[in-house]
Amino acid sequence: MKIKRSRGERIFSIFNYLFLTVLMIICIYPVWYVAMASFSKSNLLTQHFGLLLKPLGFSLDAYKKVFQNPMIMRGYANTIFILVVGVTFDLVMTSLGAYFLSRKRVMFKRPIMLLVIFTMFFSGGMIPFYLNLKDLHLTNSHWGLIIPFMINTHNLIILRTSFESIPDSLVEAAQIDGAGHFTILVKVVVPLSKAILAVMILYYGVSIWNAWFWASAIIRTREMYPLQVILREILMQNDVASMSAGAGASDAEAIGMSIKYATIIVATVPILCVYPFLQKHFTKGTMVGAVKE
Amino acid sequence: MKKRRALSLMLAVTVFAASLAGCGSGTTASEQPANTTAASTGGTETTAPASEEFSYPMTSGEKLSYWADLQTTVSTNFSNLGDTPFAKGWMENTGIDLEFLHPPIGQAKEQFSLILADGNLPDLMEYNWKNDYPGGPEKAIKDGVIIPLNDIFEQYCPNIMQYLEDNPDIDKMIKTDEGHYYVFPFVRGDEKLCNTIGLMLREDWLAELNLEVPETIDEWHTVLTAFKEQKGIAAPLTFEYTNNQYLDANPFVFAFDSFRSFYLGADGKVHFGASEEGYREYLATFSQWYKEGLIDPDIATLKSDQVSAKMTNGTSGAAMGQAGSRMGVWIGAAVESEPDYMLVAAPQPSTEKGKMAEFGYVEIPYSGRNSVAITTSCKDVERAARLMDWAYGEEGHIYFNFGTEGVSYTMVNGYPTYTELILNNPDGLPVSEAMSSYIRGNYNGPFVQDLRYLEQYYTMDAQKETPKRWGSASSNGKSYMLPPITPTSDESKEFATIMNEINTYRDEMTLKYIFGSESLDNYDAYVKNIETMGLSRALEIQNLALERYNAR
Amino acid sequence: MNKRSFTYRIRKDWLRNKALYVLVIPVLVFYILFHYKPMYGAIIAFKDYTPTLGVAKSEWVGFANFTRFFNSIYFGRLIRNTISLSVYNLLFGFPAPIILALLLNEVRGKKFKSLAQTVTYLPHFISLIVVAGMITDFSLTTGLFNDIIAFFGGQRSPLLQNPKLYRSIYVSSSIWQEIGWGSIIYLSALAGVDSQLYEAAQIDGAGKWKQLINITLPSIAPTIIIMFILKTGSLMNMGYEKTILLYNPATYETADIISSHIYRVGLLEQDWSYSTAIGLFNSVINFALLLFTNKMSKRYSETSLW
Repeated sequence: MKIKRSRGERIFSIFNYLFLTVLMIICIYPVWYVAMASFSKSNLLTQHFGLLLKPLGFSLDAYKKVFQNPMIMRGYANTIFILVVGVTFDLVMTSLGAYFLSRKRVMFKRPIMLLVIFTMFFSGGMIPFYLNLKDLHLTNSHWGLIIPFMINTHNLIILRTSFESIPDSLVEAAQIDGAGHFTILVKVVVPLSKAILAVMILYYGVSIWNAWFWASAIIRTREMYPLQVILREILMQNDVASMSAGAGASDAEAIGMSIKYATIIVATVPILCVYPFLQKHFTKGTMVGAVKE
Repeated sequence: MKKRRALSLMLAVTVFAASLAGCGSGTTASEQPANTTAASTGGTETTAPASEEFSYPMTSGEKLSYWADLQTTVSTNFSNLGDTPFAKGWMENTGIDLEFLHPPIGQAKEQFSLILADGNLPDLMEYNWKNDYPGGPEKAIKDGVIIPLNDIFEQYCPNIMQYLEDNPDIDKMIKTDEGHYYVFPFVRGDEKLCNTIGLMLREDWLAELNLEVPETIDEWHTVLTAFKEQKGIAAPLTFEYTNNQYLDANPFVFAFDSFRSFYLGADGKVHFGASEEGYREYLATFSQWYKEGLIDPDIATLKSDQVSAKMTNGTSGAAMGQAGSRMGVWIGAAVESEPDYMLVAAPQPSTEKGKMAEFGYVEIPYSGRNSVAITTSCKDVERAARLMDWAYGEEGHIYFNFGTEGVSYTMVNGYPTYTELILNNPDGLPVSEAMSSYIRGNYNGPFVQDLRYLEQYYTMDAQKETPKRWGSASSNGKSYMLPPITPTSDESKEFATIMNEINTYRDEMTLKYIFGSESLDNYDAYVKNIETMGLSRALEIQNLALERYNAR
Repeated sequence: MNKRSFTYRIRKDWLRNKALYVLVIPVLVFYILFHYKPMYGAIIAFKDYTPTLGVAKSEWVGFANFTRFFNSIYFGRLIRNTISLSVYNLLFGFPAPIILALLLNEVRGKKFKSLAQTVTYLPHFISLIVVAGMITDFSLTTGLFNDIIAFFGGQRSPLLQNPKLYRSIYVSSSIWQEIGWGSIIYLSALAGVDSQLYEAAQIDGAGKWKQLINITLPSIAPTIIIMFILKTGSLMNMGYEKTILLYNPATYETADIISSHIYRVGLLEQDWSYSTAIGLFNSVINFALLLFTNKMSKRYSETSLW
């Protein structure tokens, strides 16, 4: 049944499209800039400031140099391993916790929730955390980057909120049919939560992809570094160089600027491609038929 | 019910199993030193004294672990220092095998703390023990992290002992206040190696305007005004103001016999330059120039990218920088599109024509960086000491600075000359990367840097001129530089807190004066404020440190 | 009677929820093992910590680290800047992604919507170092922002040297970088709104605006409220990275925050006691804010953290 749109709605629609287009242009600019810079010649980049809309003296040299870096491919492999295993573990653990915290009439739910939230604010700091990992034999290992970070409390809370909105009637119906909690979680709650789980995959996935700090703290073998550690080294290189004095360290020609940008593209493009695949879960009507109580 | 329970139990077990199984899922088990077995041969004290028949390479023994920053000129081509031709040759020549451990670039300090915390120290650690160990090097010894090297130098290190005898000023620098040697230092072996930052201007513009390279403040004013008025340049003088090192080296401050922070006064005591009269004169002049539009209006926000752009695309005509990473890069980048582009180095400006400036920026030969200490975990101290000592002898010195004869250098009339492999690398590596594969001369490390490396690293004439114009060549600054003094570990926190406040205030007020938002009539109030923030206590701490240094 | 009813209740709870408790064991183990076990380390805020001595053997100094921080001449300014930047961020940066999500929701063309979603979240992935470099470039007297200002008849000036403009630049750039990414959670919430409700409302003659107020907003209200509570709980957590890249002594007045000020001390990385003490101070304030916000939301809405 086609309902006629009012004039006001059409004007609104036009403005909406316009606004979003402008926003898109603004948002794509940083990525465009980096991409264009990566295809430019370093010395021309040096002379340039301001807007960059097309490559300055098109050249693939930067990319050649990037892939020559012995650590790029290794870094990729490491990150992908951590990503796949990590996101899986994260989803499972967070779902367990969120499910528990979303059930009603559970006596110890509140204290557990408080204990969980407390950890968002108070922690022992970097060194005790590290020593703890050492005790558990998780240092210098990719598992050390996965297991201690399986649950992000912030995400846990968001997931819990979403699980809470699953109608009780559905849960009760399943219980009457004899399903236990685990079955309910897997067969009822999860299928109805595709949208929010897609968000969780995105959140955890991006967080793992971008993580460099703990990797640089607990991993001692260079070949095991994830990609972002390498990227950061390259980006920081100008700053580090300017901090060390004397002929030599600071005087070495900084890595060509275009190489810097090429590294960013190489290290970022893959994760950018993930979103479109998850997008279809964000369309309207995923929860057809469910009625909010 | 049973099924679900079993499943969750399995999950918990899996988690545990995974966590326990997580032991180095990577390739090499890199963790710690290989000298594990107790019955190791490397006896320390009771070995025969060094004067007996000893020569390199040493006979095979345990591998030593060596922790150091990985330089970017190396990391672009190798993921471990041990893979470089340099390291391979080093190990071959000394007969000692090394396992290199590297923190991620830029994360050395964090990893350092973690290593200390978990107590598994590598045998050798290359680090800035003077500045970056909280509490100072003596505390590092007291905390049981590194060992004092006095006896070790005497027993196993004839090379460094000789060097220190020949260079008593260096000798003092690498001791703690209590007289302990604590590192195998990085020393810049020649004064000219300490003059690597200075002023530079567009030589082609000077020629065009018929001007000479300015030597006094007045001449600078003339030149900058000419750039502005006759060439229409918007920002004649530009400055990488966000770089702390450049601020410390600001030649215009020195021109007025002033200093940005602490210096050694003629009276042998420590002074703080930014609250003295000379600094006021600097502010007056610089703010005047700013008002006249001779200085880049965005000066406070400029980082190296912006300054590089301005200097290479003609927005600015003068700046400060190093000969390699600035001058060389700028000339290289600009010359392609502007063949007449050329930069020339300018000396430290003085206030009187013909008179050399009193103050100027000169770095001290020992800054503390990249110096190697032997840790308390090292079981074969003799081996470690002999390894490090090799670099200070004739053979090692040449190797560290020039590499292998016939490969990376050849002797031409007794002058070690880099080969084409280095200067014109067939694989297309830039000079700095080629060098870093074969030598350590072009970055810091536990050896004495040779001037002849720099003479060749500077391939352009403009660069070769710089040691003759900057630093000690154009000022008396050396006598005013503070020696490497250290506060005691108790005082260092107090000192750091006071100075953070004072430095914040000084930096804010300096810009306010330069931009004209504060009038210099208030300068006395500014000085008074610095006093109230605890300057006298800071000076007291510094002077005590100086006394202890002089008594070493 | 109390004691008996307590144990009685526990038994009843266990019988009913046995499965649930077993299910959550891994989660509890996780928190205990990785969060509570190392939590003792927080006491180094009250000690003079040396890594080689370890936490237990390091010397007690009581509140010395805290007084060192409180006695700073700039203490008031640092707190003021940290809080005001955070509040500005909350005020403008919190609604922005919500509005974007709502606007995107109204787009009828599927392809356009898809494209817009993807493009707007891109800036989130570009490293801060690069973004800060761009902002510095644009803020130069000769930069893009000044070009725009001059186009509208304004006066060119070095924008990043002006303390009055700093907050605006800081917050706007944060919005630019995060608006797309932040809208994702709201889009996902919007996806869960039953489309039948909209159809019913349209039949009843309700216009877009009425639909927004009566259907959309109430449906995503729980998400909004929870996100808000969580954000207030991190009010004091302003990291130093972005600040260090954008500030300079000319803007210290409004730009210098707690973390950047301490970063300049230089010992930040190794004066663990000092930085832990400050971290603790921040956490206490954050926690108090969270408790307060949660209480308020319990009173005025159905949603709250606990």
